[in-house]
Amino acid sequence: MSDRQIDEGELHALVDGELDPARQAEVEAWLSENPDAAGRVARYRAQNAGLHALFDDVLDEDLPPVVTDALAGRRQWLPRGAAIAAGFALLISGAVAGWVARGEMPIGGGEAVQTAAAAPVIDTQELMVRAAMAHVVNSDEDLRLATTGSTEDMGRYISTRMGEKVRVPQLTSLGYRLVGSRVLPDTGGPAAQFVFEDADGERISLYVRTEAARGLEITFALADDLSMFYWNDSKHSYALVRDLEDESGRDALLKAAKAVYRQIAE
Amino acid sequence: MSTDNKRELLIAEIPRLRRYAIALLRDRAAADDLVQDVVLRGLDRLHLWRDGTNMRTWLFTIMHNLHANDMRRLSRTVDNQPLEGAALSRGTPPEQEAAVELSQLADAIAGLPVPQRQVLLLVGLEGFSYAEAAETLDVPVGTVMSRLSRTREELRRTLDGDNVSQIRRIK
Repeated sequence: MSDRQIDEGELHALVDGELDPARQAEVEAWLSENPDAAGRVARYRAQNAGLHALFDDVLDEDLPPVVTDALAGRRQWLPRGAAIAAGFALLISGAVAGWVARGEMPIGGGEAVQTAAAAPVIDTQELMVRAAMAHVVNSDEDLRLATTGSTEDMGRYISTRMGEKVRVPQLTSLGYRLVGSRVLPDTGGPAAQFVFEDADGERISLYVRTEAARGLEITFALADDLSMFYWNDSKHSYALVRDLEDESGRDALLKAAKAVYRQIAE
Repeated sequence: MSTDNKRELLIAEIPRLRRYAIALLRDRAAADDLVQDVVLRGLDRLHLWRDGTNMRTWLFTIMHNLHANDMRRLSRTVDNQPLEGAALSRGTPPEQEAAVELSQLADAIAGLPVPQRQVLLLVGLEGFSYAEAAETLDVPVGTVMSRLSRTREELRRTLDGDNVSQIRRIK
């Protein structure tokens, strides 16, 4: 018998096979003289056996259609994207009074400008929905992938397809590497999307729409699965999107949005 | 490893993902929707999965994160639905002296807070090590252990308590 006391945690570790063999033997020896504790261990084991009895049948079932469909192709992302778009649409209906006003962020260190009273001069709903859809479906197959040092290449490619000069933002100082870009159809002509990835593989995407507009500060919007900052300059509207995260994720996204703004505002 | 091989590894985990999702959510349709999302996201991010790391914990982590998002969304829209025992699969009772009554166990699990249910199911049903469960749930190993012992002990008291009252009633 060991001098060491047996604690409750070790009874569970015994059940779960987490003890080394020597300690396991000690605990088992101790249990043989402590019927109360041995009874509890038996009950814990019975709970595990009960879980298997309840749920193991699932392992032998055929996969349901929703899952086999998912395996068959990536198109299944679309309904999800549509749901997100609907989420944004709902949000936007209250946006002028709510999020736009609340989300104003001064860019240059000046005073926050309340633009809520003035009607937004860009079609924010269209921008958000298109940016959200583009963000949700951005797998490597969809993108023209960036290789090291190809930022200028990427800029030329996008500029040619957009029919105007588009600058590629650099976010490496914030820990984001450019993954790739693509051109997407949009109502005002082609739109561009740039996709970045951080060290953890988390992706953020920048959607750039041709839309003559003025005066919208960087604004925060939120849907069920995504968060987004959007703004505009004289020629384009922009939305920077990432999967919904906590406050720190939002702060990181705002930093990136400001960096993009400074680099490519016109 | 080729993309095809990674894909095969992912597919091999789907039955376990379903078992866990059904046990966690107690609603087959919701569980299959969640598994669908995990499969889609897993396939989409397969290039991020590193060779030699654990595909199972990687996928369960994705499921955990998606489920957490769903919970946030649900908490904004509807109150928690009562969990229905009818959605469960019923197997053969274990041939053990200390066998627990399955329907009682199912009900008792349904009454557990989600974080306790997650730990109980990952370790007790899925056979995750404490370290794997901690990684999946993004909590310290000590938290896994304390949640697990609290949960099992609560379950034991609930189940034994019921037995006692039944015996008294018979007498």
